[in-house]
Amino acid sequence: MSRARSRHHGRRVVVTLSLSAWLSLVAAIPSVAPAADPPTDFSGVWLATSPRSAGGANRPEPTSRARADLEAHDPLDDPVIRCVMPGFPRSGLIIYPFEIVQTDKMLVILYEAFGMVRRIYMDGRELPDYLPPARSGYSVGHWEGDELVINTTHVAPGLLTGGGLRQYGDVVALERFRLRDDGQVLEAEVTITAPETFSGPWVRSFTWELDPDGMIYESVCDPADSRF
Amino acid sequence: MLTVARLVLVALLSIVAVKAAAHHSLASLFDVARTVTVTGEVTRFDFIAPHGYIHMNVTDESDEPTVWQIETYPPGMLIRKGLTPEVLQPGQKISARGYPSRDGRPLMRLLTITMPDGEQRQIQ
Repeated sequence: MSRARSRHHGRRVVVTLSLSAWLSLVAAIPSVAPAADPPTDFSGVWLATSPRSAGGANRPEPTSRARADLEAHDPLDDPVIRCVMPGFPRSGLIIYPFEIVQTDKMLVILYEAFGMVRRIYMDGRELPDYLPPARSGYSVGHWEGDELVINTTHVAPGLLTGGGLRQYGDVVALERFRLRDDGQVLEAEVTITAPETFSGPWVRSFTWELDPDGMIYESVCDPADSRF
Repeated sequence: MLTVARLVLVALLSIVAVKAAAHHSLASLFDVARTVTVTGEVTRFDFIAPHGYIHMNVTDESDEPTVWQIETYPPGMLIRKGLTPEVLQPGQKISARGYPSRDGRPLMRLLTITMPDGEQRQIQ
Protein backbone atom coordinates (compact mmCIF):
# COMPACT_ATOMS: atom_id res chain seq x y z
CA MET A 1 0.00 0.00 0.00
CA SER A 2 1.42 3.46 -0.93
CA ARG A 3 1.99 6.06 1.73
CA ALA A 4 -0.68 8.35 0.25
CA ARG A 5 -3.28 5.57 0.21
CA SER A 6 -2.29 4.60 3.70
CA ARG A 7 -2.88 8.16 4.97
CA HIS A 8 -6.21 8.30 3.19
CA HIS A 9 -7.19 4.97 4.76
CA GLY A 10 -6.21 6.32 8.17
CA ARG A 11 -8.51 9.34 7.75
CA ARG A 12 -11.41 7.06 6.91
CA VAL A 13 -10.86 5.02 10.03
CA VAL A 14 -10.93 8.15 12.19
CA VAL A 15 -14.19 9.32 10.58
CA THR A 16 -15.75 5.86 10.97
CA LEU A 17 -14.79 5.60 14.61
CA SER A 18 -16.17 9.02 15.36
CA LEU A 19 -19.45 8.20 13.70
CA SER A 20 -19.78 4.86 15.48
CA ALA A 21 -18.94 6.46 18.81
CA TRP A 22 -21.64 9.08 18.23
CA LEU A 23 -24.15 6.40 17.24
CA SER A 24 -23.42 4.31 20.30
CA LEU A 25 -24.00 7.38 22.50
CA VAL A 26 -27.38 7.97 20.85
CA ALA A 27 -28.29 4.29 21.12
CA ALA A 28 -27.42 4.30 24.81
CA ILE A 29 -30.11 6.85 25.69
CA PRO A 30 -33.09 4.46 25.54
CA SER A 31 -31.51 1.37 27.10
CA VAL A 32 -31.95 -1.77 25.02
CA ALA A 33 -33.30 -4.78 26.89
CA PRO A 34 -30.93 -7.78 26.73
CA ALA A 35 -32.11 -10.69 24.60
CA ALA A 36 -33.94 -13.41 26.53
CA ASP A 37 -32.01 -16.58 27.24
CA PRO A 38 -32.83 -19.43 24.85
CA PRO A 39 -35.43 -21.69 26.49
CA THR A 40 -33.55 -24.88 25.58
CA ASP A 41 -29.84 -25.60 25.45
CA PHE A 42 -29.06 -27.76 22.43
CA SER A 43 -25.31 -27.27 22.59
CA GLY A 44 -23.08 -30.31 22.48
CA VAL A 45 -21.98 -33.16 20.25
CA TRP A 46 -24.84 -35.27 18.93
CA LEU A 47 -24.44 -38.77 17.53
CA ALA A 48 -27.01 -40.02 15.03
CA THR A 49 -29.14 -42.89 16.30
CA SER A 50 -31.75 -43.09 13.53
CA PRO A 51 -31.84 -46.37 11.63
CA ARG A 52 -30.68 -46.21 8.03
CA SER A 53 -34.27 -46.84 6.99
CA ALA A 54 -35.13 -43.39 8.38
CA GLY A 55 -33.40 -41.88 5.37
CA GLY A 56 -36.02 -42.95 2.87
CA ALA A 57 -39.05 -43.37 5.11
CA ASN A 58 -42.29 -41.58 4.16
CA ARG A 59 -40.87 -40.36 0.88
CA PRO A 60 -43.68 -39.04 -1.29
CA GLU A 61 -44.15 -40.00 -4.90
CA PRO A 62 -41.76 -38.06 -7.15
CA THR A 63 -43.15 -35.83 -9.86
CA SER A 64 -42.78 -37.02 -13.45
CA ARG A 65 -39.82 -34.64 -13.88
CA ALA A 66 -38.05 -35.98 -10.79
CA ARG A 67 -38.81 -39.58 -11.77
CA ALA A 68 -37.34 -39.05 -15.23
CA ASP A 69 -34.19 -37.52 -13.73
CA LEU A 70 -33.98 -40.35 -11.21
CA GLU A 71 -34.07 -42.95 -13.94
CA ALA A 72 -31.45 -41.08 -15.96
CA HIS A 73 -29.23 -40.53 -12.93
CA ASP A 74 -25.56 -41.19 -13.54
CA PRO A 75 -23.61 -41.70 -10.29
CA LEU A 76 -20.55 -40.32 -12.05
CA ASP A 77 -22.28 -36.95 -12.10
CA ASP A 78 -22.61 -36.92 -8.32
CA PRO A 79 -20.45 -34.02 -7.07
CA VAL A 80 -19.66 -36.11 -3.97
CA ILE A 81 -17.34 -38.17 -6.18
CA ARG A 82 -15.33 -34.98 -6.63
CA CYS A 83 -15.47 -34.48 -2.85
CA VAL A 84 -17.97 -31.62 -3.12
CA MET A 85 -20.02 -31.26 0.05
CA PRO A 86 -23.48 -32.78 -0.52
CA GLY A 87 -25.15 -29.97 1.45
CA PHE A 88 -28.42 -29.79 3.35
CA PRO A 89 -30.99 -31.38 3.44
CA ARG A 90 -29.39 -34.17 1.43
CA SER A 91 -26.82 -34.54 4.19
CA GLY A 92 -26.84 -33.87 7.91
CA LEU A 93 -29.79 -35.94 9.06
CA ILE A 94 -28.59 -39.52 9.44
CA ILE A 95 -25.37 -41.42 10.18
CA TYR A 96 -22.86 -38.64 10.80
CA PRO A 97 -22.63 -36.51 13.95
CA PHE A 98 -22.67 -32.77 14.46
CA GLU A 99 -21.95 -30.24 17.17
CA ILE A 100 -24.29 -27.40 18.07
CA VAL A 101 -22.89 -24.11 19.34
CA GLN A 102 -25.60 -21.86 20.66
CA THR A 103 -25.92 -18.21 21.58
CA ASP A 104 -29.03 -16.10 22.02
CA LYS A 105 -28.64 -14.59 18.53
CA MET A 106 -27.34 -17.51 16.54
CA LEU A 107 -27.10 -21.26 16.56
CA VAL A 108 -24.30 -22.88 14.59
CA ILE A 109 -24.40 -26.53 13.52
CA LEU A 110 -20.96 -27.95 12.77
CA TYR A 111 -21.26 -31.21 10.87
CA GLU A 112 -18.52 -33.79 10.78
CA ALA A 113 -19.20 -34.93 7.22
CA PHE A 114 -17.46 -32.67 4.71
CA GLY A 115 -17.07 -29.97 7.39
CA MET A 116 -20.50 -28.56 6.61
CA VAL A 117 -21.51 -25.51 8.65
CA ARG A 118 -25.01 -24.14 9.03
CA ARG A 119 -25.63 -20.76 10.65
CA ILE A 120 -29.12 -20.48 12.09
CA TYR A 121 -29.94 -16.80 12.63
CA MET A 122 -32.05 -16.48 15.77
CA ASP A 123 -32.15 -12.67 15.92
CA GLY A 124 -35.52 -12.28 14.22
CA ARG A 125 -34.15 -11.26 10.85
CA GLU A 126 -35.83 -12.16 7.60
CA LEU A 127 -33.70 -13.48 4.81
CA PRO A 128 -33.55 -11.26 1.71
CA ASP A 129 -35.47 -12.47 -1.33
CA TYR A 130 -32.25 -12.86 -3.24
CA LEU A 131 -29.33 -14.81 -1.89
CA PRO A 132 -26.87 -16.74 -3.99
CA PRO A 133 -28.09 -20.35 -3.75
CA ALA A 134 -25.98 -22.34 -1.30
CA ARG A 135 -25.37 -26.06 -0.95
CA SER A 136 -26.74 -25.98 2.60
CA GLY A 137 -29.11 -23.05 2.04
CA TYR A 138 -29.66 -20.20 4.47
CA SER A 139 -31.54 -20.62 7.72
CA VAL A 140 -33.46 -18.60 10.26
CA GLY A 141 -34.82 -19.99 13.49
CA HIS A 142 -37.18 -19.14 16.30
CA TRP A 143 -38.54 -20.70 19.47
CA GLU A 144 -41.98 -22.18 19.90
CA GLY A 145 -42.03 -22.99 23.58
CA ASP A 146 -39.07 -25.27 24.18
CA GLU A 147 -38.97 -26.28 20.54
CA LEU A 148 -36.44 -24.89 18.07
CA VAL A 149 -37.94 -24.26 14.65
CA ILE A 150 -35.58 -23.74 11.72
CA ASN A 151 -36.61 -22.67 8.27
CA THR A 152 -34.11 -23.24 5.46
CA THR A 153 -34.40 -21.82 1.96
CA HIS A 154 -32.14 -20.74 -0.94
CA VAL A 155 -30.77 -24.26 -1.37
CA ALA A 156 -28.85 -24.64 -4.61
CA PRO A 157 -30.38 -27.09 -7.11
CA GLY A 158 -28.83 -30.52 -6.97
CA LEU A 159 -29.25 -34.04 -5.65
CA LEU A 160 -31.69 -34.44 -2.80
CA THR A 161 -30.67 -38.06 -2.17
CA GLY A 162 -27.59 -40.10 -2.92
CA GLY A 163 -29.75 -42.37 -5.03
CA GLY A 164 -30.34 -39.74 -7.68
CA LEU A 165 -33.50 -37.89 -6.67
CA ARG A 166 -33.03 -34.25 -7.66
CA GLN A 167 -34.39 -30.96 -6.39
CA TYR A 168 -34.64 -27.88 -8.53
CA GLY A 169 -33.91 -24.99 -6.16
CA ASP A 170 -37.37 -24.79 -4.62
CA VAL A 171 -36.61 -26.69 -1.40
CA VAL A 172 -37.97 -25.43 1.89
CA ALA A 173 -36.87 -27.45 4.91
CA LEU A 174 -38.67 -26.95 8.21
CA GLU A 175 -36.93 -28.57 11.18
CA ARG A 176 -38.46 -28.88 14.62
CA PHE A 177 -35.91 -29.86 17.25
CA ARG A 178 -36.71 -30.84 20.82
CA LEU A 179 -34.97 -32.59 23.70
CA ARG A 180 -36.22 -35.58 25.62
CA ASP A 181 -34.91 -38.09 28.18
CA ASP A 182 -33.55 -35.36 30.42
CA GLY A 183 -31.65 -33.70 27.60
CA GLN A 184 -29.82 -36.84 26.51
CA VAL A 185 -31.81 -37.32 23.30
CA LEU A 186 -32.39 -34.84 20.52
CA GLU A 187 -35.21 -35.48 18.13
CA ALA A 188 -36.31 -33.67 15.02
CA GLU A 189 -39.20 -33.68 12.66
CA VAL A 190 -38.03 -32.42 9.29
CA THR A 191 -40.56 -31.43 6.66
CA ILE A 192 -39.11 -31.01 3.21
CA THR A 193 -41.22 -29.25 0.65
CA ALA A 194 -40.02 -29.30 -2.94
CA PRO A 195 -42.97 -28.99 -5.34
CA GLU A 196 -40.85 -29.64 -8.42
CA THR A 197 -39.72 -32.95 -6.88
CA PHE A 198 -42.68 -34.20 -4.85
CA SER A 199 -46.43 -34.00 -5.01
CA GLY A 200 -46.55 -33.37 -1.25
CA PRO A 201 -44.35 -32.69 1.78
CA TRP A 202 -41.76 -35.23 2.91
CA VAL A 203 -42.11 -35.56 6.68
CA ARG A 204 -39.12 -37.27 8.27
CA SER A 205 -38.13 -38.12 11.85
CA PHE A 206 -34.63 -38.40 13.27
CA THR A 207 -32.94 -38.86 16.65
CA TRP A 208 -29.49 -38.22 18.10
CA GLU A 209 -27.92 -38.94 21.48
CA LEU A 210 -25.71 -36.55 23.41
CA ASP A 211 -22.02 -37.44 23.55
CA PRO A 212 -21.01 -35.44 26.63
CA ASP A 213 -17.25 -35.87 26.17
CA GLY A 214 -17.35 -36.19 22.41
CA MET A 215 -15.73 -34.14 19.74
CA ILE A 216 -16.05 -33.64 16.02
CA TYR A 217 -13.23 -34.85 13.82
CA GLU A 218 -12.06 -33.40 10.55
CA SER A 219 -13.51 -35.29 7.62
CA VAL A 220 -12.13 -33.69 4.51
CA CYS A 221 -12.02 -35.66 1.32
CA ASP A 222 -9.34 -35.53 -1.37
CA PRO A 223 -10.70 -36.19 -4.87
CA ALA A 224 -7.60 -38.27 -5.59
CA ASP A 225 -8.72 -40.71 -2.88
CA SER A 226 -12.42 -40.66 -3.70
CA ARG A 227 -13.74 -44.09 -4.52
CA PHE A 228 -17.45 -43.35 -4.10
CA MET B 1 0.69 -42.76 -6.81
CA LEU B 2 0.29 -45.23 -9.62
CA THR B 3 -1.54 -47.54 -7.25
CA VAL B 4 -3.93 -44.81 -6.16
CA ALA B 5 -4.61 -43.86 -9.77
CA ARG B 6 -5.27 -47.50 -10.63
CA LEU B 7 -7.64 -47.91 -7.67
CA VAL B 8 -9.55 -44.79 -8.67
CA LEU B 9 -9.82 -46.09 -12.22
CA VAL B 10 -11.11 -49.45 -11.00
CA ALA B 11 -13.64 -47.69 -8.76
CA LEU B 12 -14.85 -45.47 -11.57
CA LEU B 13 -15.21 -48.42 -13.91
CA SER B 14 -17.16 -50.29 -11.27
CA ILE B 15 -19.51 -47.35 -10.84
CA VAL B 16 -20.15 -47.36 -14.57
CA ALA B 17 -20.82 -51.08 -14.35
CA VAL B 18 -23.40 -50.75 -11.61
CA LYS B 19 -25.03 -47.48 -12.56
CA ALA B 20 -28.11 -49.12 -13.99
CA ALA B 21 -28.86 -50.43 -10.50
CA ALA B 22 -27.90 -47.24 -8.68
CA HIS B 23 -30.78 -46.21 -6.46
CA HIS B 24 -28.71 -45.76 -3.34
CA SER B 25 -25.01 -45.13 -3.10
CA LEU B 26 -24.55 -48.07 -0.72
CA ALA B 27 -26.99 -50.47 -2.34
CA SER B 28 -25.72 -49.57 -5.79
CA LEU B 29 -22.23 -50.84 -5.09
CA PHE B 30 -23.01 -53.56 -2.56
CA ASP B 31 -25.50 -56.39 -2.28
CA VAL B 32 -27.11 -55.49 1.03
CA ALA B 33 -29.26 -58.64 0.93
CA ARG B 34 -26.36 -60.93 1.84
CA THR B 35 -23.03 -60.92 3.66
CA VAL B 36 -19.65 -62.57 3.14
CA THR B 37 -16.77 -63.17 5.54
CA VAL B 38 -13.09 -63.23 4.60
CA THR B 39 -10.05 -63.88 6.75
CA GLY B 40 -6.55 -62.75 5.97
CA GLU B 41 -3.67 -60.43 6.63
CA VAL B 42 -3.97 -56.66 6.68
CA THR B 43 -1.66 -55.08 4.13
CA ARG B 44 -2.78 -51.44 4.34
CA PHE B 45 -5.32 -49.28 6.14
CA ASP B 46 -6.41 -46.11 4.34
CA PHE B 47 -7.77 -43.99 7.18
CA ILE B 48 -9.43 -41.43 4.94
CA ALA B 49 -12.70 -39.65 4.11
CA PRO B 50 -15.27 -40.12 2.77
CA HIS B 51 -14.57 -43.85 3.22
CA GLY B 52 -11.79 -45.77 4.89
CA TYR B 53 -10.36 -48.85 3.21
CA ILE B 54 -8.73 -51.89 4.78
CA HIS B 55 -6.64 -53.86 2.29
CA MET B 56 -6.24 -57.57 3.00
CA ASN B 57 -4.48 -60.54 1.48
CA VAL B 58 -6.93 -63.42 1.57
CA THR B 59 -5.67 -66.88 0.70
CA ASP B 60 -8.14 -69.50 -0.45
CA GLU B 61 -7.75 -73.23 -1.17
CA SER B 62 -5.66 -72.52 -4.27
CA ASP B 63 -3.08 -70.77 -2.09
CA GLU B 64 -3.27 -67.79 -4.40
CA PRO B 65 -3.75 -64.65 -2.31
CA THR B 66 -6.56 -62.34 -3.37
CA VAL B 67 -6.35 -58.67 -2.46
CA TRP B 68 -9.61 -57.63 -0.83
CA GLN B 69 -10.69 -54.05 -0.20
CA ILE B 70 -12.90 -53.56 2.83
CA GLU B 71 -14.76 -50.26 2.59
CA THR B 72 -15.81 -48.65 5.83
CA TYR B 73 -16.57 -45.33 7.54
CA PRO B 74 -14.36 -42.22 7.47
CA PRO B 75 -11.91 -41.60 10.35
CA GLY B 76 -14.20 -39.84 12.83
CA MET B 77 -16.74 -42.64 12.84
CA LEU B 78 -13.98 -45.27 13.11
CA ILE B 79 -12.35 -43.46 16.05
CA ARG B 80 -15.67 -43.73 17.91
CA LYS B 81 -15.65 -47.47 17.18
CA GLY B 82 -12.07 -47.78 18.38
CA LEU B 83 -10.76 -48.78 14.97
CA THR B 84 -7.72 -46.62 14.28
CA PRO B 85 -4.34 -47.15 12.57
CA GLU B 86 -2.92 -47.58 16.08
CA VAL B 87 -4.88 -50.77 16.67
CA LEU B 88 -5.26 -52.06 13.13
CA GLN B 89 -1.89 -52.48 11.48
CA PRO B 90 -0.35 -54.24 8.49
CA GLY B 91 0.61 -57.84 9.26
CA GLN B 92 -2.32 -58.48 11.58
CA LYS B 93 -4.70 -61.34 10.87
CA ILE B 94 -8.35 -60.33 10.93
CA SER B 95 -11.74 -61.40 9.64
CA ALA B 96 -14.15 -59.02 7.97
CA ARG B 97 -17.85 -59.59 7.46
CA GLY B 98 -19.85 -57.31 5.24
CA TYR B 99 -21.94 -56.71 2.15
CA PRO B 100 -20.20 -58.04 -0.97
CA SER B 101 -19.80 -55.98 -4.10
CA ARG B 102 -22.51 -56.49 -6.66
CA ASP B 103 -20.12 -57.19 -9.51
CA GLY B 104 -18.18 -59.93 -7.74
CA ARG B 105 -14.97 -57.98 -7.26
CA PRO B 106 -13.15 -58.67 -3.96
CA LEU B 107 -14.69 -55.62 -2.32
CA MET B 108 -17.09 -55.40 0.60
CA ARG B 109 -18.73 -52.87 2.87
CA LEU B 110 -17.66 -53.70 6.40
CA LEU B 111 -20.23 -54.64 9.02
CA THR B 112 -18.20 -56.56 11.63
CA ILE B 113 -14.47 -56.97 12.11
CA THR B 114 -12.80 -59.71 14.17
CA MET B 115 -9.59 -58.33 15.64
CA PRO B 116 -6.35 -60.37 16.00
CA ASP B 117 -7.25 -61.19 19.62
CA GLY B 118 -10.61 -62.59 18.56
CA GLU B 119 -12.65 -59.59 19.70
CA GLN B 120 -15.55 -58.82 17.40
CA ARG B 121 -16.43 -55.20 16.76
CA GLN B 122 -19.59 -54.11 15.03
CA ILE B 123 -18.68 -51.15 12.85
CA GLN B 124 -21.87 -50.58 10.93
